[in-house]
Amino acid sequence: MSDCMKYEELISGYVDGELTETEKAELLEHIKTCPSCAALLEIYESMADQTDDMLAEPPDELAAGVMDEVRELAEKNKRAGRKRFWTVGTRYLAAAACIALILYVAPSVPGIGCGNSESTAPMMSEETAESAAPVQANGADADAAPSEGSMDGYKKADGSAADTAALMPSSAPASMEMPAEAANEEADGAVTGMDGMYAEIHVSGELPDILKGYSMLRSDEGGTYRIMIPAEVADELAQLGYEVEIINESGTEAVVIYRR
Amino acid sequence: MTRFEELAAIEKAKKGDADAFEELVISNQKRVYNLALKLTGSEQDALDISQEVFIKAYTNLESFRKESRFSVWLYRMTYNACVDLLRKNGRFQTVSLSAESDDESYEIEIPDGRLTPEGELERKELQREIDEGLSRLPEEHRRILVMREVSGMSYREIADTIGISEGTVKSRISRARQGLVKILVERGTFPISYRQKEGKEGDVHE
Repeated sequence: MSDCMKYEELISGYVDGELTETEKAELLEHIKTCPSCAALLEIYESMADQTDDMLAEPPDELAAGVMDEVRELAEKNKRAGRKRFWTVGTRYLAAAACIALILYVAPSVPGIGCGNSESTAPMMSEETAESAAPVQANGADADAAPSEGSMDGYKKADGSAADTAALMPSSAPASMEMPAEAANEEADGAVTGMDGMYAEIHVSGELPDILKGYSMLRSDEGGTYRIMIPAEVADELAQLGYEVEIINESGTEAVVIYRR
Repeated sequence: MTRFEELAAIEKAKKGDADAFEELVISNQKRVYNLALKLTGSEQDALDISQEVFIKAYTNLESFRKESRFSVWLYRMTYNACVDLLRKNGRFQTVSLSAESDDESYEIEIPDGRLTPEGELERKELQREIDEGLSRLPEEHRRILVMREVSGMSYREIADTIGISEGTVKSRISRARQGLVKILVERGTFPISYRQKEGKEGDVHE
């Protein structure tokens, strides 16, 4: 009996389901011949038997208070998002199904070049003259002039540098206080629902095939690209297993991060 | 809620579906509340902290990693919030538990008859006794035992939450249970005699 100290910890671990098979076997073997330990096991089990109905009921105000706050926050996000969405929509949006993506690619990825910008350019130039548009309009420029500067490489349709301050304050990804529900709210099932919003994509490793051939802008920040693709392609990426996260960045831009 | 339902609700909640988040609140509130209640000992504090935890969870949904369980995430936040509160109120005791000795041994004398309660009434009574006994344990023992029993977290998860090794969790829980049994036996909850053959009466000093 006096050796039972050593089994005490095993008994405790057994009750919590944390023993290895070997330990379990050893304990159960010992229990067969040791009434003291068997008793202790029974006692421990009864002490640990905390079923749900033994727990105290939380007061109604718990859930009520939480949901009041949550609904308020959700409402705020919706309103804010809607406003921003609208702003971006009038200034930058092309046809409904277009998203611009900023692509980060590992340096080893070869041959990121300009795809056919023709198809995408018209979409952007649908915008009013005063609105800024990514330089897809001039595919050649993309590669030739990486010195557009980090995110500020947007040019107006007429070729002059755009004021990108409004477009991309380039702050760090939005604080957690503003979840991206706003950006998504117009989505109908599409993974991004980013219809027309600018998005940023990170890809580590090889550029997925479906992204090749889309025109891309390159920034000078080694490995940063902007790419404009339709929403269906974004969905496809998600189906390929790229993880999609949507972060609302400062309200004038949506950010989608794809990560494998 | 199944794991799948949970993940689906989280995705919806991320997109602004407040009703989906409410489902998450309802299915987790009992344990979160009880964990806070047992750690702080105060219904008001438990209410405040629980609400705080859920709201924090909502605003940080984006940073929730789907690989872990949502409930564990909540329990961690609850634990940390409780410890912060206790620290602020000066009720946080860091007790050195290294005085535990390994060379004690005990003996249990078992009487005839039933050892542990059966039936709902008796189990409820036992529950009250356990709660009473828990409140008499040294702070760190109480805390870890409460963590384990209310949240159901694994040793690994508890270790990560508190910041100690899994082995320490295992032995600390074991010691906590020993302490609890001693208290309960003294109170006559269990009809046994539990004697330590050598060593000190209490191996934990406050």
